[in-house]
Amino acid sequence: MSQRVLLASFGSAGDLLGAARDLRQRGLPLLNAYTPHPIHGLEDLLAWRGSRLPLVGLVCGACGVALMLWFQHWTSAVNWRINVGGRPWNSSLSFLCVTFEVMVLFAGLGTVLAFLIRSRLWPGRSPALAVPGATDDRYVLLVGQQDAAFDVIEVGRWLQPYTPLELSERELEAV
Amino acid sequence: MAEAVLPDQPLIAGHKTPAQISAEISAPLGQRPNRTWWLLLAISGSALGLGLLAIGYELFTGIGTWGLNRTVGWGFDITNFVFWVGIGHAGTLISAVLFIFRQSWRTSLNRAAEAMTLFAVMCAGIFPLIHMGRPWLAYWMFPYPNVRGSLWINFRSPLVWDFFAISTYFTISAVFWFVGLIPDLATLRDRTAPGLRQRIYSFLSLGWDGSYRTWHRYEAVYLLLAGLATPLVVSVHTIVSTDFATAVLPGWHTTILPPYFVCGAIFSGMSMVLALMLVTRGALGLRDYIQQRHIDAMSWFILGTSGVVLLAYVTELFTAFYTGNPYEAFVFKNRALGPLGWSYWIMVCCNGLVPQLLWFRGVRHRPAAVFAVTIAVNIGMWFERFVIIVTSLHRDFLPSSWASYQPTLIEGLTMLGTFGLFFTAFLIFCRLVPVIAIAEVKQAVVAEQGGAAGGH
Amino acid sequence: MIQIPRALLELRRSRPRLLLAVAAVAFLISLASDPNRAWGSVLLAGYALCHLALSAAFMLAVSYPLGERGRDLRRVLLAMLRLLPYGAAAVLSVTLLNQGLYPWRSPAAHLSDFQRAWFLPGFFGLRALAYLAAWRYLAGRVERLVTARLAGDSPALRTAHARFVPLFCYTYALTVWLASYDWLMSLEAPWASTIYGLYAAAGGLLSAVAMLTLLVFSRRQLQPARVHLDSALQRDLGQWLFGLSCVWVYLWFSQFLLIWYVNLPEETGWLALRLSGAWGLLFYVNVGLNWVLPFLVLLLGEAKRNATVLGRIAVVLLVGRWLDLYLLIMPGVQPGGPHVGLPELAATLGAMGCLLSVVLPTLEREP
Repeated sequence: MSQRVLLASFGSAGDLLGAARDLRQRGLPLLNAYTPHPIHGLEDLLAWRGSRLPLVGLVCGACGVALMLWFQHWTSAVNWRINVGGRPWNSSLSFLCVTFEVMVLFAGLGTVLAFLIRSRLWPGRSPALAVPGATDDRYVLLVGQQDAAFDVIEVGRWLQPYTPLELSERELEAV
Repeated sequence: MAEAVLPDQPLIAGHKTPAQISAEISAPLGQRPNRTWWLLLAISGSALGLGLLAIGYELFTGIGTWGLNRTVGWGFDITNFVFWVGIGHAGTLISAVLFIFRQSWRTSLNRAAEAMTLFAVMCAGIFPLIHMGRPWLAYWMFPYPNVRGSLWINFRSPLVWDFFAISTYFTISAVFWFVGLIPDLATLRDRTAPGLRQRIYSFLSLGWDGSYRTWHRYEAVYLLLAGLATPLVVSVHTIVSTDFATAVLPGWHTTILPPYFVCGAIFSGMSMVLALMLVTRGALGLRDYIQQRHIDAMSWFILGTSGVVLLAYVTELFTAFYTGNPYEAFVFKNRALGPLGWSYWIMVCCNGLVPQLLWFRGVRHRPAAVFAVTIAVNIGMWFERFVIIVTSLHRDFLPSSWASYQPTLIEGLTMLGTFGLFFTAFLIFCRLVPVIAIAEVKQAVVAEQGGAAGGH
Repeated sequence: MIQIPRALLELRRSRPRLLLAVAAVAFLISLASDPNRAWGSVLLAGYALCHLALSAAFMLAVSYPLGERGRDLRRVLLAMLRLLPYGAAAVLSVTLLNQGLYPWRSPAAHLSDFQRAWFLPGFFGLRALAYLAAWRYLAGRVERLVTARLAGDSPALRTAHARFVPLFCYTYALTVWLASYDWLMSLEAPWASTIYGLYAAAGGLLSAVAMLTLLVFSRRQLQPARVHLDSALQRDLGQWLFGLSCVWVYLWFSQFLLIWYVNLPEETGWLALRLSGAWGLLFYVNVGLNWVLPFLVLLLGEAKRNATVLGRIAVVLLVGRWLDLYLLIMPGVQPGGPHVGLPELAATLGAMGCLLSVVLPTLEREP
């Protein structure tokens, strides 16, 4: 489903935040932003929840722990026992080191992989929405136009105090 | 951190705008390298070449080309291994630990420091690999069902822990570095004229478009990676220390070894980062980004870790005599006064005494003096590993097995080769990606200039 | 917001010395029945109080914590310095007057030549005096510097402070290490573990930050108008607790792993005793209180912002710190197994009495 959006581009993070706060108070739907760096407080204005990706990390890490504790137990105490310096077959204390490393490996790789998939980032992909300068010094706000009553000129006037550098309208497939 | 001593300077000098920041940091990438760069590349490339020749010769001939013997089974190889792993740790410390503690001064350093981590771990990995003698069988370290009756690797062995630690460390460091690099690669992609370079940046930036949804997730992932990397770096050097400390060998088996090794690693790594940053900022003209406050902050780290290392020297020495174990006492007497005593005193002077100069403001404010101190620390920390390894080994329990250790030319060239690899990789890195994290510096500067963007 | 029981806080006013008196009576009774346990408990309380004060001094010296926002923290840390004389008195009563607690006093002890000289009773007592004199000097100097800086900071004061840091750090490191060897580790001489000094220092810092957190909260409860505790400061306290707790467990694990792994007869005894019987239970409870519980709770960022949770974690950690010291001292004093009775009650009440009758009133008297 496509959607018409208004792209308002600003020259500073402060202007973007001010504009976002203003438009939010006026009840306009803020869909997304394109910025050169993270801006703290913006996710609150966009009304987003915290990311659940750390949960993926937790689950992957827990899997790593379980796998390695079981695997070391199985290889050292079940499948092929070897007496190493008279230590117990299941030397849990010395198994903790490898378990820890594998936990970190699983949690780190799992989270990053989930992040890339979720954010649809992969090698060679061209940027979904090319906003010139959004990786340099432009701060762009995406405002949804939900009904025919959306008045671009009026919104433009509201945005004047924040010195928008550019206002444009686009039809987008997904935001 | 030490507010008492850190002056309130701006994070980045000269009130820069985001556009200026992207332009200035990526400027060196667009220009042709100057003559100094080529000269340095020629030197480090030659060192690398010599190292490769030495390694090739060793692989075809055998470990006998080294000066090891039955008593001294570890020499230059493991000394260099521990040395390089330690160098790598500062990168993780700066990028992860300081990130968690919201030290925004790190933004000028973390990219280069993380790159150093990767190169240093590569250098480190070479040594255990070639020490195996048959490195093409290195996969035997991995637990896989095999034809030897499925005799599994020994999970109680610290050397196996090491294999897991180093490979995890390299993987996670590389991933952490690359994730941090994605937004900057996108910046470069959008700044570079169409061509091969632009296509490479485009390919690697994964289609990053600055969407805030992605930033939102990115921040969560970055924090999580930092949270994982922090205990990881401690665990890696702890495991390296257990290679020694779990042996029933006076001079190796001592409970302080894990924290002592971790602090020593941070100590040498921070010194190496500082040395390289002093050179880089001169060579690339990034004085506004790497300032006195960075030198000061890193000096405090060096002083603090130097203190712990010094305390560990004193504790070990004292305890060896305190317990009355004759073997312990002998090892420490032999370390300081035996045939290799000179290496012990180099270690004590370079690691314990020379860094104390950094307490003086006058020294910290002279880049040349700071540079000299950092080089001394690196020499000292190399000798620390040498002292721990060789002086503990060369006097066996049985006097009839006593031996000495004389490194051969091949070992020397191999060591030189890793320095060549490290600096060659660093020089190429400076030409390919921004040495300073553009997006992070922007965020920090905007936050500091009173913009609404909060620092971490 | 954590509510510290009103009755407990009131004790500081209504019966300022009540707890101390009860502690003294309990101590005297237990002295008659089990003098070793009684003196061991005095050592525990004294060591804990000394370390609270000294670690507070360390934080004031090296970090001048958290810039402008940390004014309240600095006031609390300054008040904690007042514990030093009480801790010193308790420690000296053992190390000067009751060395019988230590096995090296017995003629039958197996000691190295070095230990025989090192533990000459007079030399041992002199060293204890020297450490405490050094701590008195460090704490006093830090107190003067920080009080002056709080009244009005100046470049000259900053420079004086910065110049004092190296002296402080080296004296601190050397004395904390040697004091831990002398006062605690030698309870099981000739056993030795090189990590002991770092372990003692990390434990001291952890207990001081936990106490700091708790005192900041109780101060806010007493004088809500005067304490400005923003969420950033609270998060910082949570982060320091989290970090130090992890450092502590790291040192704990390093020692455990290495002694367990190598299993040398001269080393393992210390650990084997603590893993046996009821001591073994306490050994694991100790990790639970000092690390597992704080780690799990503080890992969730929410807990660092929530004052109630943070306060509870600080209490858990303080109990954990007490147990950790108990496990360092008591198995050497009464190897048979842990007992809780009058001596332990005396030590706990005595330390709490010092806190309530010395630290809280100091905080209230502040300008």
